[in-house]
Amino acid sequence: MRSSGTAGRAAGLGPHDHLCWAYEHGDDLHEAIVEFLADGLARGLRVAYAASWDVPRLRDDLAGLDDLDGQLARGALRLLPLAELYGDQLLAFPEQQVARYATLTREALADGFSGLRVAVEATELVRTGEQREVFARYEHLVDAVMVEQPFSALCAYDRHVLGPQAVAQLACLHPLSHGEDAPFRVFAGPEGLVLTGEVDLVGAELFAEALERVVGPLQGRELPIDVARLDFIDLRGLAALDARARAQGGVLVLRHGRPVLQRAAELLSLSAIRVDVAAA
Amino acid sequence: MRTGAASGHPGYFHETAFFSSDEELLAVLVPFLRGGQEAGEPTLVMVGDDQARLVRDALGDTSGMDFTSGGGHYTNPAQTIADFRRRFAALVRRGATQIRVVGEVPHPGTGQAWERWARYEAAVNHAYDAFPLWGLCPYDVRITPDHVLEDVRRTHPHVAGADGSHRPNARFEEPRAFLAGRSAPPPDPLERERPLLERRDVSPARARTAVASALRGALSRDALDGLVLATSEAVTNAILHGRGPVVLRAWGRRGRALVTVADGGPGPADPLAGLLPHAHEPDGRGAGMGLWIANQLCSEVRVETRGGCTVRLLVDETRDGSSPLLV
Repeated sequence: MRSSGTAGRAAGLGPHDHLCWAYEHGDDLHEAIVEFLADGLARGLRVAYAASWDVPRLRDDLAGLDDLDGQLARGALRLLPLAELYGDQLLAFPEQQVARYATLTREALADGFSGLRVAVEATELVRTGEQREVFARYEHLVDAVMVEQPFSALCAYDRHVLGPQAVAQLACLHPLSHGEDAPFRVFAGPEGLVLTGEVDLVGAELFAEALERVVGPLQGRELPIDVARLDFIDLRGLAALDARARAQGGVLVLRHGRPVLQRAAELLSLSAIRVDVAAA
Repeated sequence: MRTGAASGHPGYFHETAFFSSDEELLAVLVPFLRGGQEAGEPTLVMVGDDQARLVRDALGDTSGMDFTSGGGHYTNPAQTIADFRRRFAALVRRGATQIRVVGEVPHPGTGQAWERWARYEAAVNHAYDAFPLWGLCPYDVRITPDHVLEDVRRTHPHVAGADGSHRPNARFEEPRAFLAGRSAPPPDPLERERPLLERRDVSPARARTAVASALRGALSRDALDGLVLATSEAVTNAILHGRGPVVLRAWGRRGRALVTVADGGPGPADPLAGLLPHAHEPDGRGAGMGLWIANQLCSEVRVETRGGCTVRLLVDETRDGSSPLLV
């Protein structure tokens, strides 16, 4: 079962977890990454750390990690400059990057590890709006892989460089987030999507954008969204779900909704969403 | 094709009748109902049980007429309007060229507060005008208070007499003018106590948390969910369209809760706001429907536009023992 919500620390996470770590200070970040990777190693996962700087600096960042050289020698730990992990094709072919992670996970399993875990400092990949649009869509695709495969990741973003709005755009697509970076989260579940948190005036634009990242062409199908832990959605949010479903030619089915959600959708005469109320 | 007194009339033919005896009531109802039956028009009769019995006995053959007890239909004005409009639309889709309805709107003579039903009588001149509807609202002058009769005269464009006459009503007032002139009704008994919460400059999220936690013990979960949604929409509207800090207050006791959302702005320009779904808001679907949705989820919603704008959301689960959410 994947965790979702806010994570105060990067410890205690499972083989499918996907955590957004927006940070202000480099020191806190390194501590978190060490904790995340050490946990992974203890679980028998192959771990990797990637950032946009060179290997010696990557090593220094992980100074707190036990038996760092031993782990490197065993092939349990890999240090990767970002360009090596993410080819310059990312912007053009995000699906290939997703496939690459799936391959790396399979390799880890073949090499006797119980899965793959990656910590990535990805600020350089998301500086511009254009980059963020592609990367956000990619984040969601790779999140879907993590549901099935024993692949977990910590995505670190420098809040000082990117600003709170850009961070929110990325954080809201992760099941787990270090801070209260976004009022809601929409991410991959075992069947379709999961939507948690609250959607109202404050996150309205963010929500409409997020739907563009996570709801692709539906081709007449129904896409389930688990809303058991959606604490609130307002009328504008419901209308945004309906608009996206109609634009993508399908129906969004809100599963485990509360009766008020069903009533509101009926009253608004929304034809491209359906609410299945949770059994009492 | 329209028939009877409503011949040639395009939309809602809204007629009242005053009676002071069974004979006078029948003199108006029987020809009206027979006419509908003979023309093959859907004919709906929503009156109390005694009157229904009286009318059925007088008619004998009531084939084609739909007798339903009035009580369940008049919940709150916005819900009543929504229900009727759905029903009328369905009848028109099935080929009705005129629909006849006899309806008894609640008033103090029948044990109900009048103010919102006065507004209803004014609003339906617009709300039902899209339908080929002939509506007859009979009022018993023996039990109807004078101030109610006065409002009835001002909200019905036509009057039917026991002598078989159908006359235009010179006292009829344009609905928006009538509504704009209404005075503020008295405060709710809950307001005699200090509010459970009072917050200034509140965000929709803070408003929701405050209301949910203050009223958790007072309402059922579904009713509370509806009130929280209505509150959130009211606060959102106040932030987007209002002026100055938004002030939130809430009162509640077992089964009854009141939330008020106030801002310093002028409030909605249209006195019909909330009674009809607004399909033409610039924000698109969802936005602008807040007041109307609130009306469907709460027992009563009022918008006071004197001295700023105050939206009052009342949920009363004590009246019929069930949540207004469960239709």
